[in-house]
Amino acid sequence: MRNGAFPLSFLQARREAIIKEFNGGRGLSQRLAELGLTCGTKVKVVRNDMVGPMIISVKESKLLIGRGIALKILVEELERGENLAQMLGQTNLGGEAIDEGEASCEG
Amino acid sequence: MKAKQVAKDEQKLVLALIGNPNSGKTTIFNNLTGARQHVGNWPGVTVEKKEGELLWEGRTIQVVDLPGIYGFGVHSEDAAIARDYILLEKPDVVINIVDATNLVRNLYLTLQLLEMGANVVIALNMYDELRAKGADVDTARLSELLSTPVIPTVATRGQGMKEIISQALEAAKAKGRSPLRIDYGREIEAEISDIERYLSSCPKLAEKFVPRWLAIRILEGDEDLLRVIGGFCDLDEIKTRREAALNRLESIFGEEIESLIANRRYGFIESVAKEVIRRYQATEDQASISDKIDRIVTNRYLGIPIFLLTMWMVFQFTFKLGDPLTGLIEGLFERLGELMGAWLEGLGAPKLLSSLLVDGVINGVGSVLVFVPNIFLLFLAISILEDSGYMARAAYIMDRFMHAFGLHGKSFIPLLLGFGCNVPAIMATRTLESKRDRLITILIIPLMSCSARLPIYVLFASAFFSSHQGLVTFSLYLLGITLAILMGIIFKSFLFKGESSHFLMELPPYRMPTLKSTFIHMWERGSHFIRKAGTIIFMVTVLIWVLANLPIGVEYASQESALGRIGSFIAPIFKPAGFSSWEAAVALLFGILAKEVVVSTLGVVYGVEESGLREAISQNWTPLSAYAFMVMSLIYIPCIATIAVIKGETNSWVWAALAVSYSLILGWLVAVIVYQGGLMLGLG
Repeated sequence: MRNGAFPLSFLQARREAIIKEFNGGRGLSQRLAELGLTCGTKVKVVRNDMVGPMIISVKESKLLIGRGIALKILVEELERGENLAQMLGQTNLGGEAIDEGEASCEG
Repeated sequence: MKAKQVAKDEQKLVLALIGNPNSGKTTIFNNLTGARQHVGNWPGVTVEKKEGELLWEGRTIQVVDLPGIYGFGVHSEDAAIARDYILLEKPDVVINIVDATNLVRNLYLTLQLLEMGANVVIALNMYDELRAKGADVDTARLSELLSTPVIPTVATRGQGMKEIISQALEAAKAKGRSPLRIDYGREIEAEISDIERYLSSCPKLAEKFVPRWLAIRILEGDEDLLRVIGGFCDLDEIKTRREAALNRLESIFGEEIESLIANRRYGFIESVAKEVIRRYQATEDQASISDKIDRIVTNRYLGIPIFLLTMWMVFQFTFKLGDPLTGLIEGLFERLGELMGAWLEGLGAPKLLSSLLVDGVINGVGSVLVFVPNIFLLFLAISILEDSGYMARAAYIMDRFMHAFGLHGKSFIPLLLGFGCNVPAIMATRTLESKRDRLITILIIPLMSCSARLPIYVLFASAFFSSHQGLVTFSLYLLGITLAILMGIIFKSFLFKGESSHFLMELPPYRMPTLKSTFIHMWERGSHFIRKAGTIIFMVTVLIWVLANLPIGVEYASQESALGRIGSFIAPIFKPAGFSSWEAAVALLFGILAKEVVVSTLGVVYGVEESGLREAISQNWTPLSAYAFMVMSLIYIPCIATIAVIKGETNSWVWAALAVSYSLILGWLVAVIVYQGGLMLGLG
């Protein structure tokens, strides 16, 4: 069950989501990609006080991300069941791209 | 002699180091070059250029440390420098340092290097941490998949360094590596080939660059690169083709092409990672431990107390430990001056010469060296905070407060350091990647009341406000912060309009700082200060000495000396601020040398010892004019060392001149407002 896409800035601490879309300009999406944030990537929120910057973990690293940018990243929250399924299925260290997520990004 | 000749004749091999920030690149650079390093600036920019030499089997190999970057897509000075260096200078081998514990993200840069056609050797660093996580990498397979040598390394323990060097020498022999080709999918490939075909038709371009890579970068919107190609091709033709290509692709995908290209690259990397990473043991997830620390350290309620406690410890460490050492150096130079004076007198040397050596040279060297203990200790503390990973968390905690300045959390650390000494504070702005944030921070740091200004407050507050000394001193610190916020807003809205910056930074994992790297860090920054600021401080000290002694035969620093005359000349400017004596003007002039000199200068011009100074001042000033003078001392012109560092860090006299002029005007204005306002309120 998915609740539809919403800005990353509203994702609560300890919840996970898949990136669906960027609303930023040209430069921003390349900068995010270099830090590992692309469509289909799984992100987890470490801290979100709903004001000021938030801390997320992506791939094997942690990022401090301003609320302005977080508003431009649309994500779809993963339900707990999906999390578990994914954790069990995860075999590699950094491989968190999900095929179906990617498909919706390119489509 | 002969060996030297041979080494010279042989063409010097150049190795360039590149990698993500926090990948251990600096440690590898230090391991390879040891003490044979040279720090300078890349031409025309503020980014530091580090070069060094490596002796290997009788040959000298040059090692260039490129800025830490995540890729070539961001329009930053760092990325442009790294790109242009690899593209135009063509180092023989590019050693790409890859954090093995964060393989996927790190390989994103590697992929771009390989697409560029660079002669890459991969150092798979922090291999021990990967093993501790219960995983390892099939390096042979990784090397095969990327057709590039891969060496596992542990830079902190010096493991794998020899292998890297010999592998790099091997790679240097086999020139002309064919660039990596990633399949970007039918539609994108068609557009790449179209632009690539056109580029290949430009004379000589294909000899120097890889046309396919240029085509990809053009589609990704690297405007800066067009300038490089401009010498070979018709740019209008390229732009037309690019626009057409982008239109076609966006009508197919309905999305920006950069995202598509990035996704394809990550797709390739994921497939590589899946094949080479082996997890053989389930250990407790390090990420979750780090998450737990982060939840405490960045906690809404605990975060700020932990942060304040840390900063308090840093200051205690810097000043409690440093001040006795500073006193020692001061005493040493005083004694040295006395001995030198007596010795010269015994030789019958002219008085002028002995004054030049004692008041000029020894005093000058001394005024540089008194900074050393505090600065080195402060840098040591900062290095520990940085290497442990805490510094990045502090930026998060202080972000909200920093918005008042129009800045992000990262600027907080440099500003805080400013209360100790403005010089290291300005140097600490190097961690700010946005140029706008960095310049604003540099410009407002001088408003942070450094420890050298404290003696001025102590003197005047004890002479006039003996029952409220602490309050008066505190009010000046507060005034500095308030003005810094005000100037931050002004600079943001007038000087750096429009250049908005995104707050986005990596939080490095918590690590135990190693003794060696912490000390190297401290030494690099500390010695940088001595070299850069030292010469300027010294020169100005001598200049002031000359002015105090001209015309020849005049009493040192008297009203008749050139310095005294300058003081008398500028004194009337301060009339509206309530202190128009030539003594005050001279004290302020000398204060530019170092703020604490204001106190000793007042002693010289009033012709009294420090103990009699309080009385001399209470006879010549009123409480109101004294407060206005303290305000002026707080704000006006940063000291010479600070000016020198602003020039050094921004690589331009313009910003140094701006810092001098705005602070002078602001200082005068506020001092006048305080004095005139006080008069109106009947406080005079």
